[in-house]
Amino acid sequence: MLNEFLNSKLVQRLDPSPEINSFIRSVCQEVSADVGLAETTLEQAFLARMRSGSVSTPEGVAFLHAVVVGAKKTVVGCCVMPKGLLLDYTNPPADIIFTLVGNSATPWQHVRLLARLSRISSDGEARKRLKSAATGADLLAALLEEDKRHG
Amino acid sequence: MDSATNIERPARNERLLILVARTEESFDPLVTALLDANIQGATVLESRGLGTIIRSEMPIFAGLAALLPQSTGNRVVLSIATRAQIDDLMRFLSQLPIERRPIAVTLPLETVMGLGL
Repeated sequence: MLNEFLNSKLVQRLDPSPEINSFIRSVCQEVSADVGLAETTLEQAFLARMRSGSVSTPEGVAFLHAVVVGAKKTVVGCCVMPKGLLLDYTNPPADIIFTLVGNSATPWQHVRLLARLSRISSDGEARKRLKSAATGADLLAALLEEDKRHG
Repeated sequence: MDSATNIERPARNERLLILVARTEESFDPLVTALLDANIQGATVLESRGLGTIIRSEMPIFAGLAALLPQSTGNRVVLSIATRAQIDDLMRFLSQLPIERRPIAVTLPLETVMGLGL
């Protein structure tokens, strides 16, 4: 399921963790061409989502996501940050951060993808396997393997 | 659709799905499994299991409280889904630790109305 949506350039191990705004900006730069929307539009959508409520969980997983009018396709990424990234103050810093941009015309696809990512990351052993990936390529392979396991 | 009675006759592969999440902790994985199985509509009912009723409302059984489960029948989910969706859902639910799996029942549908509003 995830295979058709994952952008391998958005699957990375980042150590040390970047500053939050520069992380969001770099994701928007990468996603912009895929979805056919300006970086600023995507950045505003992510920030609006973060203002509307928590995007992370007590287990240290974050879902930085936005549905945007006119997005040409849905794009999913995943970053592992061993030192964590504080995305909101209700939960500890997240060390697994999923990024997801979808089209507002297909909200159920977005919900379904979030559900799949949530199922994968709610398993403590799966989180360990994702966090142990040494490189972006390893992380991509591990994520696809987890997706298969949950499919 | 039967124009005289307004009763819709369901597709043959649709089933009534009844799920009971027995604890608060088992409800979240149930919802994510439903969504991942592309089941987009459901009704959720707050519920209590027989054990809870016996403990809280029937004093004659009070002495047995310690022998009864702490929490039963947290929420009931009702939905209509296709066989393929139900197969996916059951596969997802079977991957959960046994204590977090819901009770799940499917039944064939005879007639239905009021869907797709």
